[in-house]
Amino acid sequence: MTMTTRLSVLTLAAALSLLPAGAASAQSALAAMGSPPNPKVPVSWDRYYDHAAIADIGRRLQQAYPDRCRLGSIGKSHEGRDIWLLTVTNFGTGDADRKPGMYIDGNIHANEVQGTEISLYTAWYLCEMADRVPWVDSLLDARVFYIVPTINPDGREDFISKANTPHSPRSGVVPRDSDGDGVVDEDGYDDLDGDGNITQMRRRNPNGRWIPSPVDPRIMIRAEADQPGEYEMLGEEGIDNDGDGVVNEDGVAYAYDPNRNWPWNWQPRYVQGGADYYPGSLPETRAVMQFIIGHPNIAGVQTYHNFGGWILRGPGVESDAYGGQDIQVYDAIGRVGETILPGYKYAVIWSGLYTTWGNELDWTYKGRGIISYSNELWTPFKYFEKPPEPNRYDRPEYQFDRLLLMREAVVPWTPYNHPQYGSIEIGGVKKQYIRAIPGFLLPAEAHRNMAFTVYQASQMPLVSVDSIAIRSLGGGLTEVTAIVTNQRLAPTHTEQDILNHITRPDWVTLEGAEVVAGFVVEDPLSGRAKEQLRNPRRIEVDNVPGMGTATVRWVVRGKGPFTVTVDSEKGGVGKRESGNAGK
Amino acid sequence: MAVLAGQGFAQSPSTGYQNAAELQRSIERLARDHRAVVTVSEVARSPGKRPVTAIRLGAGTDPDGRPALLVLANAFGPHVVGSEVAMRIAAQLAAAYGKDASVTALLDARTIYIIPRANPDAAEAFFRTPLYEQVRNDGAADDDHDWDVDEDGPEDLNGDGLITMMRVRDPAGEWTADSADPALLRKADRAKGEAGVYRLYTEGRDNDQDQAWNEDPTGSTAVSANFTHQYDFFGDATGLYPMSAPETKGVADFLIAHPNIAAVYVLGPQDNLLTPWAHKGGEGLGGKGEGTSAGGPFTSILEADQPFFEELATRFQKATGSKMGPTSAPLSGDPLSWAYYDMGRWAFGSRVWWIPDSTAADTTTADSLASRQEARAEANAHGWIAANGGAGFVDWKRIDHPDFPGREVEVGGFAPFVGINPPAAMLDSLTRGQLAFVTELAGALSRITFRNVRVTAVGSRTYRIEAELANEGYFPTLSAIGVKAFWPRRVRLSLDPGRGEIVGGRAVELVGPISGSGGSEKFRWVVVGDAGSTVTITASSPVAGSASAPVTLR
Repeated sequence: MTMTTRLSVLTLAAALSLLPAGAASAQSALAAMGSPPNPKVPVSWDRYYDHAAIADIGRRLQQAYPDRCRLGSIGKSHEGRDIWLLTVTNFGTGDADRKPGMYIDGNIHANEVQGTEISLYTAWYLCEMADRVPWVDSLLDARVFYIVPTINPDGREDFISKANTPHSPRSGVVPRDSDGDGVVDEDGYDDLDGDGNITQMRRRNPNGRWIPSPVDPRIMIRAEADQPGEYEMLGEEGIDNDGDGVVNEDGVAYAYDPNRNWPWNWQPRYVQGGADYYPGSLPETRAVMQFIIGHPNIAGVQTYHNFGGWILRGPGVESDAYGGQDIQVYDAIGRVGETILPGYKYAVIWSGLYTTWGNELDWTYKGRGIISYSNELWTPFKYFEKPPEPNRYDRPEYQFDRLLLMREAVVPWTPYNHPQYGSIEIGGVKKQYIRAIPGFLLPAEAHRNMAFTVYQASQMPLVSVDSIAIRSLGGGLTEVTAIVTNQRLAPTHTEQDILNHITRPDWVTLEGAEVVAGFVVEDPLSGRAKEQLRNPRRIEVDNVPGMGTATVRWVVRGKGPFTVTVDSEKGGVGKRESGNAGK
Repeated sequence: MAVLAGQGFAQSPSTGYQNAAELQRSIERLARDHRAVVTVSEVARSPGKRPVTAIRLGAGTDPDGRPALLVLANAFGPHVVGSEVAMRIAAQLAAAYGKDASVTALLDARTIYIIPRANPDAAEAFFRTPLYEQVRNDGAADDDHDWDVDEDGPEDLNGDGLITMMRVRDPAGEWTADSADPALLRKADRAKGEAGVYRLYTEGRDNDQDQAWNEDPTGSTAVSANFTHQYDFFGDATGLYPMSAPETKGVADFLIAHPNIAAVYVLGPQDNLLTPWAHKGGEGLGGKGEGTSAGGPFTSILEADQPFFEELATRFQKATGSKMGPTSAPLSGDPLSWAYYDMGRWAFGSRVWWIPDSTAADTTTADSLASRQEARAEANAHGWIAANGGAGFVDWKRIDHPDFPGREVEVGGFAPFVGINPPAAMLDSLTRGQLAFVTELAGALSRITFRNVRVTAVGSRTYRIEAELANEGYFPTLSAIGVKAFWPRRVRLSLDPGRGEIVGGRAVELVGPISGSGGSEKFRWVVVGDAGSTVTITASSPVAGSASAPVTLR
């Protein structure tokens, strides 16, 4: 014990000596609650990381915590980038793939970047805090987190390294002929002023219908109905590259929607824009599908988007239906989420947001039976910690930019000589504003969303053998009754799962005697039981409900002791030994 | 009418058909023998490691750049007749190229892709003993959800080389012998006081002792049920998700990679040429319009497309001499509806062959409409078999069955593939009508051209150019579903002003659809340029062809 302490102090000192000069000494710091005061893997959570940096954080976590974090890949993107996977668990407590698994991904829409940082933060927090916080430590003993920080690495790289708007690209970069003219990606945005942002173009025109706002002239507003305007708006920065009379109509930005490319309720593009050719036509979609199908232990899904401050569940389509008991679980977790995430609302996609066919979480729930949420990260509520008030002359993001960002987030209107439009001006919000979270608020947003997802993970099913009761039947026969319990909100099988036989039943197996007959006890009070004819040693239980039990019974030849194991694909494994039947 | 060979199946019903290896050799030989007009490519590898191959028939420099027809056969595994007929069509077209003037002209101007066997794993069951109708490819699946895979397939208990049915005498059974033809079974009507006599199963043992017989045979996915339109999620043999089977995905990727495919002809159990598809109207989900986000997908064809389905049905019936046939198999995850509803292509389907209808079958006694249709079809098939030598139906004969000790168990009933694949002697004659229809269909694709191109000088160096873009083919440049589906491209119309300048009209635009049979649309430009200089108008679409007209300004 003493030795261990001494060693870790030495390690600490060695680590500290590597800190750059001028960095505050950790020894002089008082640990703030919720954060590691002296992380083995220092990461600044106030910026957005590119593909190489994501891998670097993953590698450093793996090096620092080899028994807690492993970096892998679930496949390759269209351009050949790895779709990184961080597996976080206590690798010393059994096969990671047999623990109930929480799957987390982010950034399916290329411009919705912060899902990646929230995901990475989750891996980092769990690794760094397990030694400090016993609750985290025991969480990692029993659970596994599959964290895929970005499932659209090509699109992310495009967003970060190329000129874009806050809204582009939504898709990845698989080439698509968006305007149907037979040429692919021939007329995208053009960063005319070379500032790395695609902003707006305006042209002074007394017949235009736009005027600068008197409060913040960077904001363009419509002139009053009976008043002349001063400008016409010409759309996003660009030129008509292919000479077809249309500007910016075929770039990579919105060629398809990766979150409409999933197999459940997929519909062609005249029903669902962006659906692409067929579900799984994109390599990234297919990689995630194969990973989830290949991991039946996954019992929870979170797929991070931005923005608007939503904790969303499916269905994406009104006519689709979610199981009533499953909705109770969704509601219970979602309501806790509203407490954890002030300004966020728990809602159903089609009614709270809009209709979506073939989205990711409808497939993970309806196609794979997994409780699945999507958080829409960041909301205008956060600008001033209250619901934004409508104001014709001002906008909360401009006000926030003036008061808290010192006017960093908006490119001021600047003259430019356009080859097709002549003398114009270019200006507007930068790409890493509006949807992406300002740096000083990102750690808090990451922590709260992590906390919600960790809460969901903690409420995944977790089975154990609660008790074994023994009763002698005479003639060398013994009745063995075992109660299997699940002390968590979520069941081992959702209704959707049971209905469609997605995950195998939970197996409750008796060892230590010859089994004469085996039963599922349908009503423990009356003792009503249904015999299982086939392989009665291993009783198949359809489900262990959330905060509930399942009871099984055997008639065996022998007196014990007996061993009962429960083996649930989504609920883990448990084991208990009984005493003897006695007389 | 050809006769099923021999008594008691001295000859296999697959005699004269080609198994996967033989078919592949035929395809390769065809490519070798007709290099000028045939190219082959691999579309997919099945889980059983068999190739799915596409044959391209088209001459000249750019066969992939002009309007094309795709013939897709044998996605429904038992329908091997489709692949034999498709293969014969390929061989006869290739042989006729350079000899027959109309075929030569067709393959100079059009391309025909033929995928003769889209589900080679399942088709291979036609060439195996015991004979068993297999719809699944060779992937592994737990069909009965008991967490064992492929553990209970059928067995040939009476050793006749066929998997037929077995009936177990049991008053708890639902079935009884048909009074008009006691070899056939029908459901007992207990409401009418009729007792059940038999339980009915596929021939085999209960290998996994779960009181279900042959419920989890080898294989996973029916390629013909794995496409997207009205896909049956969690259905029997439909796969893990739409396009999960490599063969299905391969066919889809092939069509996507060939935007010039304007029409798809599917040989399989779905028919829309004897009974053409019809627009049904009606509202979508929640009373919202079909084909919209709120209203959901279309459930019937678009109204504007209906006349074309009717006309093609007429042409098909004329080409093949067929008027009536069995009803179409339902549309669910099938390639025919996928090609129309999701890919926006003209899509036609034919069974190729079926047991001809005889009024003698009307003697059946079954009552309810659904069971009467089924019973009538069985009676018709049984009568046809009897009139053609008897092979194809196994008379019920008692066997000892270990799963039913002490009970009367008989094996018998229709042989597998009866009513799907005809005797091989019929394949050549069936091909004649099918080939005639395929050439008709390929010839009916759109063909755009410029008509009445005029230049008018309207002032100094200023010229008005007018042109009609016409479609000399039969089909419009896009169907109504094609417009909706987006994938088949519109016609790209452009004017290259050379050193001049366009001051009126558009340099580039996407136009149409333009009606076939000579329909046209008028376009106008005003160009400022030097007298005597040339500007060029061009129109092109992968599915409608291309045209170009130089215009001298004067």
